Amino acid sequence: MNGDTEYDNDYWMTHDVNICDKQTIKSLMHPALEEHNKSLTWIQETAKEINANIVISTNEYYDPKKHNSAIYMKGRKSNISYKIEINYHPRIANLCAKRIDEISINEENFRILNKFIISKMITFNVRWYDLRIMDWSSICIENESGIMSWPGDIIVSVMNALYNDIYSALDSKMNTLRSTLIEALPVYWFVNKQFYNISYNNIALLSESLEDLHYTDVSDSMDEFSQKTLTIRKLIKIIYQEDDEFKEYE
Amino acid sequence: MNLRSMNSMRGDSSFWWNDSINICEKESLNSINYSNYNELKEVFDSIEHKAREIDAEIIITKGKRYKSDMGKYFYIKFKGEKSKISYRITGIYEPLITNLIYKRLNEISANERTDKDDVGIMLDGQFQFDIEWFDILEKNWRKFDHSGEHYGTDLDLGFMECKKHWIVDIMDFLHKDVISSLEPDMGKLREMLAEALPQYWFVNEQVDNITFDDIASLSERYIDLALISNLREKSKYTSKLNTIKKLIKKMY
Repeated sequence: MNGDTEYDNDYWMTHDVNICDKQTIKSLMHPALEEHNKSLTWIQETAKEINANIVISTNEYYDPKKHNSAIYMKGRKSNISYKIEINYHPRIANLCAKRIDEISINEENFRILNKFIISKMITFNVRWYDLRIMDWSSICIENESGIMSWPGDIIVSVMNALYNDIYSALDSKMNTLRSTLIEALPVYWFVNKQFYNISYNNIALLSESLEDLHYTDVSDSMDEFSQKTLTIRKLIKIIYQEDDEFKEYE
Repeated sequence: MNLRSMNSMRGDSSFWWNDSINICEKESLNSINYSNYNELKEVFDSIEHKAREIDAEIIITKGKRYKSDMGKYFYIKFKGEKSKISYRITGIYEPLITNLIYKRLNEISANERTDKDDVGIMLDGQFQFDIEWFDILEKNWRKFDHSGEHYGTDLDLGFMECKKHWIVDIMDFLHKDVISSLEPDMGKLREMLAEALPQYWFVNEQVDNITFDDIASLSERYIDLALISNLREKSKYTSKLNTIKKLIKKMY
């Protein structure tokens, strides 16, 4: 007997998804996981708001144990193309559904429930489209929050962060997004993917400022980091000709 | 001529190449010990004895996964008594090395065996063990590195004696996993339990009507304990370990 046959008789080992809804994110819903379903609905609503495209794919790397989907979207100002690859593991959802109704979820038990079960039900990778190599490059974005959020909720946060990428990159923890923008902004300028008639000098200045911020150690000098952040915000405001919009993300 | 008598032909310089199994004992671990070496038989006997005691299943197989084509491997599969976590110990036995060693081992004195690293390396080569637990989410066996803890190879005991104790103790410790986790040196075991216990709760494999809150609380405390040094913060460490002990007592 090897590992593949362990627990095979249990119904929750099934990998099936709801075939009636296979072309939409609803196919990833589970009848017994209300919160999970809510978070998927939230993804769908957010996708509409930010004009993102959700694709439920069965590509050449298709693995029947998990269902691969992707959200394609662009940065609101940067126009950089992003892809959030979503791997949904129905077997883990089924396992979770088996006894979740016996748990009165609170902050304390959710930490363990999320760390070892729920977070593995949907995993995701974030990528940006690198025009130089004509391929998707990885951006490492991880969920560090201890709050009670289902994987779908985290994906919504990521979608919003990528949509507002230029401002999100000013967050001290957004290291990899920041380093992505340092490269991607000049690259996307060349294909004229940005609006607002931005000059290359301005893009280069923004990229350099982000690079400078990137090498500022926030743990060493919080004040210095905040000061640089403020300067970049002003620069963004000028480059993207913002007035009221600036306040929204301040 | 049967295999045992073939093996006893000490004058045959190539006998140790033999990789056949003793078909008369093919259901027991001794089926892969066709060498007539009592020390080895004792190791296998004590593993089998412990397996009966803890209701473990021993599966003997052969394959080409490891060092040589002649390598035999066997699985010892069992569950944690309280946790119901599935464990698998894979033993890889290289008869080629055993036969080679025992060809002239009697020419080396017992003291020399313990003193010389190269003898130890040779002795070590005849046996290897992988320890794994079954991850329900990944639906696969996951390596559980136990080697750095508590049970190192102690040649002072005599190699075979040590190996016998080592593997039997591992079986025992994993079978009583929840209790074993109270030993300060069992950090890796605690790390694994913190992850595995919540999973196994969902498949309803655990006894005693344990709630998820209890499991989450235990798991959290294991993680918490891992952040404290047993050496630098001795009293804090002991106090947290005692809390875990009380929790386990209450749960089980």
